[in-house]
Amino acid sequence: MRVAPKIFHQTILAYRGFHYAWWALGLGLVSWLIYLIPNYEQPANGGTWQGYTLGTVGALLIVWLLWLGIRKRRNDGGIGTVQGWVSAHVYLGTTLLWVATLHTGFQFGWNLHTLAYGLMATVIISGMLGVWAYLVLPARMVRQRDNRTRDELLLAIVEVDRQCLRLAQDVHPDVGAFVQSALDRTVLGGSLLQQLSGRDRSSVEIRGGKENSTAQRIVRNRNQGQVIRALAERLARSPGGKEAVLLQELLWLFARRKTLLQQVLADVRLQGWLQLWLLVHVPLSLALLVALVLHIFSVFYYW
Amino acid sequence: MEADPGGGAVMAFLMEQGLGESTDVLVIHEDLCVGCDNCEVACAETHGGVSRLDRAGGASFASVHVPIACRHCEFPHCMKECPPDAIHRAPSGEVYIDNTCIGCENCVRNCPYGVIKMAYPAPKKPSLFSWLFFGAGSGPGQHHDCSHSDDKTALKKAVKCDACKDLAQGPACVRACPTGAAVRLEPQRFADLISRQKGGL
Repeated sequence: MRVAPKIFHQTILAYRGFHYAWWALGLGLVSWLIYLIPNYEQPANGGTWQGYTLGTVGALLIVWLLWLGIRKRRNDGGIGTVQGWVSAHVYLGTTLLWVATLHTGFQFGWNLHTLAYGLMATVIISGMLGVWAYLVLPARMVRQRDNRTRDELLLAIVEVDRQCLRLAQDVHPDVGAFVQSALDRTVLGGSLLQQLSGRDRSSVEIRGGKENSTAQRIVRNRNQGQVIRALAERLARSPGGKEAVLLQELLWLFARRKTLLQQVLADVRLQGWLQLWLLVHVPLSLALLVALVLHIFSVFYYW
Repeated sequence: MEADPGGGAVMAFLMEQGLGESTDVLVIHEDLCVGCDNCEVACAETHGGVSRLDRAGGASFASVHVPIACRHCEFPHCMKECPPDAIHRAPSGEVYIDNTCIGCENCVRNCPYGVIKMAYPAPKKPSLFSWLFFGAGSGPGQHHDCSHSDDKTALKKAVKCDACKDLAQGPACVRACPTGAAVRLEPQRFADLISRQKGGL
């Protein structure tokens, strides 16, 4: 068998024994030493030779960091592994904040240059959130899904629904309609915010008001609470016999359904948070590139 | 047991998945996998547009996920009863299907792990410009449905993972994983895998 690389699962931070952490530390130290070299002509700012040096390093870093988007799409070759690139991206991207801050000489204002700095800082901070999300959330998702995939959970819900419908045919028509409504009005997914909240927005249609009233109203059925309560009350009033057995089975099924729905909702929520940072990180990275070009152009235009 | 499975339970799971007869298997650490499917995209992009890997499919236990992908069995079931003798083992160990496949599906039936699928050749990818401005074909990284073809003369053939035997850099799925969740292992290293699982990342 051809040589399989002797690597095991490693996080992007621990990749090759924190290899790129050392690179980042070295770059940070060198940048600091350049900053500390005394300049007797003017105070520290982007226009000194130190400022230009650090600015050049920062600009090249930004272009290289953006190159990750191209590297990860080049599957027919390319230098190193994508994980290696991501690890370097994380460490050197974090160092960029330090390098760029030294480049500014801590001079900020309401101008294009500070806008570029602000965009860069936002991109880096969103990237840090991304690192946290990538390191923490996948494990949470696995634990809460109990080693099953989301598709398997959805199939399990379909199976529970099928059993509920079968039982609903044999119970009192009111209960049957109630069960049918609870199944029909179950909601998964929704808008981005609804997915991120993970709240169950299911509802159920119940007969409202007085006894024998035919008026229907829709009430919330969060975590199947309404239907479970109603079935439990019905069971408590039941004289026993077949109806009680069926109600008991329905109760068990809805309790199971509640667990499965909560698992799917939590999975969707965590998946959303896992990807949310990219909605900030990627577009602002491109905005940063534009701001960087304008920043460099304006510096040399008004030399 | 599932909350804190012992090494024996994980090993039993791996054996249940038939990995005892594997020589090179893709194992995904679910604590690291972000579900980006870069592995599948890389597989498709390096194999004529058809991915030979189903990341989400397959079984999981204690954060170890065995996706649906060829594990290059020591005695490959797929090699039996192949009329054109199109399935071979490379000198370096990879089991692969050559171009003489006639699409009889015997290997699909014989593989107990469901890792071989029938696929029509994917159409050539359009240029980035054509895709971006004229919506031609599938874009970079987009999946192409190879279960049907507009070309009436196209022949459906069996496809499966060849462990990227022709790529000098190694398996594309592993190299494309951004988080290090995907690794390929020989059975001799399962014990190491388990001890590392227990030790944490």
